[in-house]
Amino acid sequence: MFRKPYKKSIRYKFLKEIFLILFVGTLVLSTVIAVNEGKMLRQSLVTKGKSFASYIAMLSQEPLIMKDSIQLDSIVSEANKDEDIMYIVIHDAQGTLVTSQYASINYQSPRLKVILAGLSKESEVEDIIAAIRNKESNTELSIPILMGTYTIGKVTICMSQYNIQQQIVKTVLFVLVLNIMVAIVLGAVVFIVSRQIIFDPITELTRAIARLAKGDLSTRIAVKATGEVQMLLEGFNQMAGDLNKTTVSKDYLDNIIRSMINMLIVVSPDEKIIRTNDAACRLLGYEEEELIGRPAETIFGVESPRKDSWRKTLLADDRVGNIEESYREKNGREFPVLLSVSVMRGDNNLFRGTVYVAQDITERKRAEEALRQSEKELKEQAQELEKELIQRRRVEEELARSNKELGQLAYVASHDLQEPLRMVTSYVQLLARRYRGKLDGDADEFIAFAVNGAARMQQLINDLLTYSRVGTRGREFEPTDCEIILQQSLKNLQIAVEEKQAIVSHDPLPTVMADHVQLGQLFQNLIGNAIKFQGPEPPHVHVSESRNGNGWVFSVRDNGIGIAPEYAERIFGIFQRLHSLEKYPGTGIGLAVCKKIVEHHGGRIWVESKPGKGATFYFTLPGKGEQ
Amino acid sequence: MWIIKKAVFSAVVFLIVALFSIEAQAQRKIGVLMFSEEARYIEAFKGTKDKLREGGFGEPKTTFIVEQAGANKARAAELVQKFAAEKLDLIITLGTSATLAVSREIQDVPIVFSVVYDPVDAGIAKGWESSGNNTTGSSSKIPMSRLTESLKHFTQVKRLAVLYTTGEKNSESVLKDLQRTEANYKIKVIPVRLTKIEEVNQLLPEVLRTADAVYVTGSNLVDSQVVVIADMATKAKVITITHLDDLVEKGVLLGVCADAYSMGQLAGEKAVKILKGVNPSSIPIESAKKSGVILNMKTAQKGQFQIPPNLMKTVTRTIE
Repeated sequence: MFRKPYKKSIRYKFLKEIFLILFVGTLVLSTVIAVNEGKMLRQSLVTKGKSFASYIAMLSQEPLIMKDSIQLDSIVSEANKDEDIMYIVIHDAQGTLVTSQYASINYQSPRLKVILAGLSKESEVEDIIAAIRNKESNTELSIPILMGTYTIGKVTICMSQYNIQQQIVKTVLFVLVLNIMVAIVLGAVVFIVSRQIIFDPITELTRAIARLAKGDLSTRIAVKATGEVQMLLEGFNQMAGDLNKTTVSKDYLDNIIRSMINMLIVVSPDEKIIRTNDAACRLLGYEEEELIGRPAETIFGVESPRKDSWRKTLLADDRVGNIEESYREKNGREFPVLLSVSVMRGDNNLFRGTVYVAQDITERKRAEEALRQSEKELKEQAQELEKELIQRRRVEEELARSNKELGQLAYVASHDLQEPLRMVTSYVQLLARRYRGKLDGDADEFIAFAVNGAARMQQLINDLLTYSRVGTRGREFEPTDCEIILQQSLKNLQIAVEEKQAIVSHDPLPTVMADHVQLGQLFQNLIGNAIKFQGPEPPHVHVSESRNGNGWVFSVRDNGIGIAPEYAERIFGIFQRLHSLEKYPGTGIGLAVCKKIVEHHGGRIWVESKPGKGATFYFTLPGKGEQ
Repeated sequence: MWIIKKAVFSAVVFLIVALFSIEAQAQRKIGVLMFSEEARYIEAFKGTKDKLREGGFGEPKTTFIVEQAGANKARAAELVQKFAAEKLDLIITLGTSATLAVSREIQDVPIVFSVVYDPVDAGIAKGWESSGNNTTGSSSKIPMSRLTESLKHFTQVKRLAVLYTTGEKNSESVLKDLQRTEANYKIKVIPVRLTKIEEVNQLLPEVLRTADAVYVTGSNLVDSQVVVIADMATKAKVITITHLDDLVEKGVLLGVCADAYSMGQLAGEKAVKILKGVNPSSIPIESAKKSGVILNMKTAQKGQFQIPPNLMKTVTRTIE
């Protein structure tokens, strides 16, 4: 129940004082009681002795006159039953003892044995009385035996104070025991009460102060008390709370230091390591105990430039930051760190040590090296690419110039060839009309060949002119509703559609930035081809569109004869034909024109098909701003 | 004629009454009160009864109403009341206490006592020659000179403790007799008053430590504790002496005693005289004529007492 009190604690002192006071009080009380009781008992003893003696004196009158010693013995013997009486003797007027030994002496008194043991066999009553007087604390009383006014003898009664002493001892012992018990109970009650009211709160306060002193600022006292103690506890809690608000606790600091990613090393004024953190120990390969006490030089690399370069700054400014240093691990390996150093000062600006905070920048250094290497390689590649680009531009320029020249050539050739060809055609047709049947049969056939050839050439020149005009006679791109363009194209193809009973369907089509004439020609060429190269079933053409990033992908799918994959590129060449003229008429310029129109709009065109499975032509058109 | 008839009738009635009166005078009723069942009382009553029979007052003509008080004075007083209502011809008492109880209450019936040590000192009789009242009897008193002489054979005896009981007159009388002789024989008499049994153990060790010899008087308390007293004294090698023979038989070393049976016979003789019409006060009180020294040899051996040869010569009876 009771916590063992620490001998210097206030609890111990309080307990000691309480028991000391109670002990002294008990002694004083016992003494007072002993003295008072002694007085009372002595008074009582005297009173009793007088009563006895008076009664005996009264009874002894007649036997004394009659000298009836037996009766006198009988009287004193009966009186001698009281254990306080040591002896009762009766003397006559002459002073002669008239009571016998065994009647006079109270042999029932336990004290008498001790006294008699020292007496001889022949001892008389007087000897025994003398011995009793010598050895015992007694009260002796004498009462005269009166007959009228005459004294005929006296009764002497001796009362032992032994019982009084015993009674006093008993009383004192009782008082002592009682007081000790009361003291224990009282002390315990006082202790318990005071413990609850004072000591427990104070003990708790002491512990809380100790915890607070160690830096645990979260310390609060939950013990309940009353009065001033409660005010004291509340004051402490208030103080601790205030302190917590204004002070960073040691644990808190320790936690911060422990959780730091950067290495922390605190060095004493004599350049000895006095504090590290987990990161420092881990990165340097030491246990904390190994590092503590070592010279600060231990952690720096051999080639460390610290000594001179930033030391001066540190001494001047008390701090220096972002220094690239090198730390040395326990195994001797060095690694780069980014170091910040500050001087730690105490009261009166006294130098207390130096704080080194370092960050391992090995990875950063590696990255920087890698970056430097990459930059170098990129520079080299860029130079190569630049050279290549220049080369390509040159080629492209050459190609563009060549194309342009070629286009101009084709245009010029086709345009300029039209006049002589028209003249040839006109005169050949004139020859045919004028001389058909007039010349020999071969001549008619030759003239017919010349007329057909001229007509085909005329067609070829027209197609070539059309093809070349795609790049040279283009209009400005403008918002063009594809559905309207598709309807116009279908109107142009109406005869073929009806003739072949073709079905042309389409999804909703967008409005795109395009040359509407060229776009119409594109649709017309693709749908016309789909109808022309029909399969066994009536042509079924479906035009659809889907978004592709900012642009569109248009598709024209048919159920025609299809195209072998190996011809997927060839069919877009100028005047390229896969079938005989007799089977499918045409110059083979249509898809070449389509390709040129699509490329003129910044897109591309391709076909996906298998023979007999129909074909789907795709072309892309860039969105607004992409052209 | 009628006068003759009347005279004859009167004569017949007179004869009948006379005859019944004679018969009534022949039938005696005697009350006997013993204070306790002590052997000496029984022995003394035996002697008395024998003498009464010899005098023509034996049973069945004489009816004996024998009562015993169990050493209790209150019981004795009750029995006295009973005797008073019985219309007795004579009362025989054995022991001082029984005699005192009867003599104080009954004065109209003759009282013959025995085994009373000193009837005068006890207040039973006014004098040895004539009691002056309705009592007479025999005394157990022996000459103290003889007793002290026997004791003086033990030369070492200087202090004689007398165990007595206050209120028992024979016991007190013995003490007084001894006190009267102490100056003559240079033996210091130390009275030791015993009124309760527990006082035996309280006082006797100290008594035996300081006394050379212990006199055992015939009080009932001492009688009842005599075995213990004798045993303690023997172990303490202290001589015990008495005037009562039955106490010697119980362990007391030495007895100078009147013979109880003789004492009884002496009383019986006086009773016969009384029953024949003699006034008790005219019959002297006498001590037993026959006395002797009795030695308890068992106690002597047990206590390894050296019995002086001179004493042995006087011994009339030993108890082995």
